[in-house]
Amino acid sequence: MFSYDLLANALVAGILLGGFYTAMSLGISLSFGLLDVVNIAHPVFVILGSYAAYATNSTFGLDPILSGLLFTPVFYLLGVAVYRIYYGSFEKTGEESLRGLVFFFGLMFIVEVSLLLTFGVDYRLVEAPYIGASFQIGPIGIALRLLVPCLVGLLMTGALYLFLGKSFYGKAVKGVSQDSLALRLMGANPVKIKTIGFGLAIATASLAGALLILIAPVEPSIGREYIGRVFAIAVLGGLGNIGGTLLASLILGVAESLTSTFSGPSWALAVSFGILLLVLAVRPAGLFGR
Amino acid sequence: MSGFLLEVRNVTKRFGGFTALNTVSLQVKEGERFGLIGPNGSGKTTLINCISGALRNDGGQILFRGRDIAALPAHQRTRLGIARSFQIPKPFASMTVLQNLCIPLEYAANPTSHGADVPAEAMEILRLIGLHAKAHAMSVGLNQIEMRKLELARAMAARPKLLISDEGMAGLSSGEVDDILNLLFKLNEGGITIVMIEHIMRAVMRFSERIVVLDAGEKIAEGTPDEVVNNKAVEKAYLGE
Amino acid sequence: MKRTFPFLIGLSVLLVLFLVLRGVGNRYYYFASYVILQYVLLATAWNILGGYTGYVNFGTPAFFALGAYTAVLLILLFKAPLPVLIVAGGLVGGLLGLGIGYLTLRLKGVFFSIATLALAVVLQTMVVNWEYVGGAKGINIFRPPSPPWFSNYVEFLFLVMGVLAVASVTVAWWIERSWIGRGLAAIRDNEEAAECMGVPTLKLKLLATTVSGFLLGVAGAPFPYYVTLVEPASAFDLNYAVNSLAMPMIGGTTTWMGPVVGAVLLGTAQQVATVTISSELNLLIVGVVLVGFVILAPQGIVGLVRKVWKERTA
Repeated sequence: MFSYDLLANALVAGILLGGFYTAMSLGISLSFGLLDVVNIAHPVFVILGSYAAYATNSTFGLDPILSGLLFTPVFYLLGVAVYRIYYGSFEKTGEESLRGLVFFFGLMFIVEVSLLLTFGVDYRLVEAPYIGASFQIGPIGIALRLLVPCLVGLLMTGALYLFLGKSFYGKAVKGVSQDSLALRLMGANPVKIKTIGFGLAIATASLAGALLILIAPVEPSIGREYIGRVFAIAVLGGLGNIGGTLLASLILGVAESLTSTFSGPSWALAVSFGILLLVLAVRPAGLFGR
Repeated sequence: MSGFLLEVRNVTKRFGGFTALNTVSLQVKEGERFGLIGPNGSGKTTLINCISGALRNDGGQILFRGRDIAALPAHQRTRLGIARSFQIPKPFASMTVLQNLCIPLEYAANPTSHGADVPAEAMEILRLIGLHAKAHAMSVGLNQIEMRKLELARAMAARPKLLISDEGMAGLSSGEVDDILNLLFKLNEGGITIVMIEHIMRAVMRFSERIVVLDAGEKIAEGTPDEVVNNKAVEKAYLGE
Repeated sequence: MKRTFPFLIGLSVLLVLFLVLRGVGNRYYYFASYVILQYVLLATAWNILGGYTGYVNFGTPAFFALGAYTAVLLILLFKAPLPVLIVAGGLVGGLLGLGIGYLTLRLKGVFFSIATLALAVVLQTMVVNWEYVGGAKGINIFRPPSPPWFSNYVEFLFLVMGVLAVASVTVAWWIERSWIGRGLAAIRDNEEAAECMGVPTLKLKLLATTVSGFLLGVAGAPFPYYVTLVEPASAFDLNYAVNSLAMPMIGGTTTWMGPVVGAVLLGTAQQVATVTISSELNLLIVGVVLVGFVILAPQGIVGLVRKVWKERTA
């Protein structure tokens, strides 16, 4: 049943969703796009962030976004630790393709099952004053639980964009995969730069996870639903291109929202997968890729 | 048929906004010893990649024995008779030295027969190149010069008409450079056309009958070693103003 | 004769096992052995693309479930006999492998892996929404009467899976020793060099994906008769994804022996463990062991044994 109101609502919801998707995809754009590390476990780290927010929310009543920010340094250190193992075991010896992938796959399982053992299969959710509230602009309803994550996601994107463009370490991270020799000449250690970059990628998972549990309840296995989404976004946006990632997130968000509204929510996943395959088949460099 | 073994006509290659090769043309005669030199970043390896098929050129034609090969995938070009060695050796790490040679022998030289004599042929090539003592050693355990020789041996095992050696002598001692050079001379006497990319000037000068000089993706000089050495543009490219 | 030698040896081993189990008479062992033999098949199939060629397939459940649901469809529509189910499951699996391969194998290997990761989730969603094959609730499939000489159908299925497992190992053995296997190894070691040495890398990769997909689909075909209740949750079980990867990696990826060793060891351990620990803990342990092996012993058990053997005889 089609109506312009329905369409408008779906579009807006899609844009808001896209803003959130960007928060999840920043980490992939960083690690896969700029550092050439295929961290397929990234979505499960986001879920870890969700559970961290849940734990502090249910125990201390802490606002999830606040807890997401608080845990960011912890996740940064986690990222550093993971990268050190990855680099020492695989990248140094040049065997990162097969074994690195399997490593992250194994890691993904370990984290997911640990969450399962700790928290069980039930869906977990958080309580915050703005969940459930919404306001209307004409015929369009805007739920705060979608708006807030979208805004935070946009802020994260902006912050990362500035960091990569303006700060010394940011620019170093941007350039490390293309010209590690130049970096060395400038006195920066490429391995250290990559470690920082990867730590940053995992750090984004903390806040992204908090946003995720704001939007909908989580359980340990939903990370797998997002793998296709975040990689579709990362590839579509051009690996490593922050602006492209944002645009791709919006495109995917709108596509999923429209599909969900007019064909049913269960087809939304197929959309992201379809987009992924389409991009890989037609233009693997993405919209703005190098 | 133009009479040249290899003809590169106005080949252009771009990477995004960067033009690596700009309408480069050259011709290599059958049986010739051909040198390709130029400062770092001038596009030598890019040109070789376009000729061997590792990259697709954006513009121009590449003719091998009169036939345009620009649309062919690399493995078919190898079967037609173009072989190359890599600047940074890329041995097959899980295989022995002998097995490394069996791959091109099976796939490039004898693609339909996959003959049973392949290991014997491989041993012969190893004897020629001086590596037969290491035939059953793992390819990753070789030292620098052995690796370079293996690269060359692998290219030879493809039984090419045209062999492209991409900086096969970098980092080698003077004696080792002569070793490789003598090997290339021997191959050329046997009828293989050789294109050599090198930075080691005395090797290129001694070896080449003709040389093409690239700078910033363009051909800036062509001629015999003596002509090229005395060319002002070449001097400028290497030494600056 | 020389080429069928290992197949005959495998069949003999299988026959011995079958007679032993018959002697013991406990049905449980048939069920457990079926699972282990299924894993031998899955691990061997995975390894043809993963270990021999170097392309990692994270989506084993997709191929397995596709084989299972193809069988369900054929049973519902035509009451098709088991051999038809097996061939059909294989063909569909092979087509899926060819399709995914065709779309992604011209790019870097990681893109193939990412596509397979997303594949399972999407296929599961589609099956869940398909009422004809049971949707989320699943569907009941009735076993046909057991053939002569077999006291029950599970006994028969065990033998069928055993034959399939032996056949797949034979296929892997053939490939490994042939010029195709040498080409795949070259692709795995250094694809760029392989292409320049005359190896038709795209064609061989597509071949490996198709064969691997075919065998994975074959593994799923008898599944409906084995479980009798086919539901997406069990057909797309995560265990298949982890195990089909962990077993070759732990056993050793460069030879046909690795997946067999890994499947028998890990499969048996898991069968023993499911009685004592939860399946989640089981998965966790497999994950940890997998990561441990990939970091510390990437050559797997077979590789370790070889190394020790070499040092002993050196």
